[in-house]
Amino acid sequence: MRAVCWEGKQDVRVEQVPDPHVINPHDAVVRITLTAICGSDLHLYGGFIPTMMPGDVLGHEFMGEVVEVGSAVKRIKVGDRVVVPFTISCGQCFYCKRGLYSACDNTNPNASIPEKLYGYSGAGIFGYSHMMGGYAGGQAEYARVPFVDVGALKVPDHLTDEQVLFLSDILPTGYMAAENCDIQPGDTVAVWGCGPVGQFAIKSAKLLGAERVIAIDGVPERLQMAVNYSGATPLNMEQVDIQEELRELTGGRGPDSCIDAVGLEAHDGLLQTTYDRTKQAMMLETDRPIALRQTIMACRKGGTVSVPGVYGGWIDKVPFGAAFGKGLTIRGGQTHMQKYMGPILERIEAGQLDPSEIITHRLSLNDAPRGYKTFREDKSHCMKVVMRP
Amino acid sequence: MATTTLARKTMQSPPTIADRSWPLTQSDTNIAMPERLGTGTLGAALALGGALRGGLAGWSLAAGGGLMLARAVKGHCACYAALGIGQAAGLTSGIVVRRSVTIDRPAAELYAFWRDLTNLPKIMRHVKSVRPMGDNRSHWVVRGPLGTEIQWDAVTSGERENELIQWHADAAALLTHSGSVAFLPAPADRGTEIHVLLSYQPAGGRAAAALARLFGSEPGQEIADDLRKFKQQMESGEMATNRYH
Repeated sequence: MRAVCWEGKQDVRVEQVPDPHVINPHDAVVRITLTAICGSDLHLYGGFIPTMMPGDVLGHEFMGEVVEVGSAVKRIKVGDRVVVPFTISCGQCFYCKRGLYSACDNTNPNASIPEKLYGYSGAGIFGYSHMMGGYAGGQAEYARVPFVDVGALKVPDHLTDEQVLFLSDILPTGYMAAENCDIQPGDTVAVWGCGPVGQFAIKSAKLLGAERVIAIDGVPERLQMAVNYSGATPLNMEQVDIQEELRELTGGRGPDSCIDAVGLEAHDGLLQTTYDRTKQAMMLETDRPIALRQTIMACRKGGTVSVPGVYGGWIDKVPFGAAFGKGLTIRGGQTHMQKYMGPILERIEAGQLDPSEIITHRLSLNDAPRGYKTFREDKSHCMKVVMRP
Repeated sequence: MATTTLARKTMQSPPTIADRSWPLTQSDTNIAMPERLGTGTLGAALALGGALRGGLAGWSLAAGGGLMLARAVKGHCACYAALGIGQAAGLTSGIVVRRSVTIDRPAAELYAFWRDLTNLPKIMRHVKSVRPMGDNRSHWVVRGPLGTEIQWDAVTSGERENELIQWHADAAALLTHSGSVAFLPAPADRGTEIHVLLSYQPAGGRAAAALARLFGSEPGQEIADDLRKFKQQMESGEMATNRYH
């Protein structure tokens, strides 16, 4: 089959790889009908995530038709149309039983690597480095899907692929980021980063009852989408002092919750970027926590900092004294997908949101290299790339 | 809480490795006495000679000698500690490894799987086969380095149903070792804690084991990996793999 393979820093290629088959009893094979490039794929593309190997099949946002199932699969049938979550969860361990699916104990065959790095390993993830399991991803014609009964979400025929595809990652990720803010009546939520996860975090914060959502970015077109899509209040970080504007917009109180939807490749075009790039080059720091620093400084006392943006390693100069001094709650982590997909599908069916509105580029899988390059470089016009195999 | 339970239970069992102090007490001393005397004498001589000679070279010599002397007096070598030489259960009883995992299944089910020794090659990467021979004895074939095979007979020396299995290698085995696996109830409804304790004299002595550790075949990691596979199989009904064709 054809698949998008990582061959090195800023080098992805469409290659012929072997067709996947059922290996374990709870597996299925899915013929992929639509797949997407995630913002977190750009971290791989940029070479920021360790343990990638040339030839690794990329992609963790995909959906399609089930064409083969293993002997122990009960709920899912051949022919089902399904969206596949990016995390692989067994459904039986301590964490899965408590709804903490992305912390699954049993699905990372390379768990010993994150154990050395983090103490313990979370769930395996499709197409996201050997540290996260080394599973072949879904930017391909077919994919092997372990524990398909636990993960795959059957979707109704009257919704298009484009309307449901983002249930595979970015929509539940934005939703969980907003839910982690424990939004109360009258709350103001500030969201750093108006990429795809930021857009869905903003939308979800509105759906969950935020009085006002403030969208922060440096790209006017992305801010405009947040205004049009969710009725956000835009703040252009290139033009205003974010801390001062947030304080004045909230009558001196500060936002009740702050969401970092940027993650490890943040930049401010100023001193901090230079500082962190230097530290990265000297191998003294792996991630650039510029947005995280700002969320902690801006948040009101007793508020919540919610982090859907990806971090992989060590960060520096984080104002933890401010987090402690203000008694902040900090929440983050990979999304507990299986907990959110069903309820959010109901919201889509009820017409509360149409996720397909953020799509800007529709490509063939063969155009993946161009898709990655455009998504990385043209932040003004490229919000979300979907590809048909 | 769990350790208290084990200590109480093992008090009633025959004396084996599992009955020694738990958790294992570790001595800082990891250099044997002949080596301590030898390096101590040499260190003292170098320190004295270097100081008398003076100059940069002389004082460097003296400093090196002083370090050797201190190491000998303390009986502790940081390099040996890093390599795992001479530590854990004292100087003479080899290497002791302990690892534990919590599995969200009843102890009886986990005990039954482990007690059928022919199941163990499924979860233990290096074990090729285990053949029960009756009379609490079994024959083990394990993959060694460079495509070799190591074989021995083992004796199940003690067991309490759903709680504990103890074994040791036959006296004729090349790889002298003994071990135990305890099945303890985890708090609330969290399943069963599996505690493995393994003590062994590696083939080729301490030097070979130190080399093996340096080059990645670290026994604690092997046991951790095997226990993880055991957990995956018992909880989720399969062992995770990223193979797809």
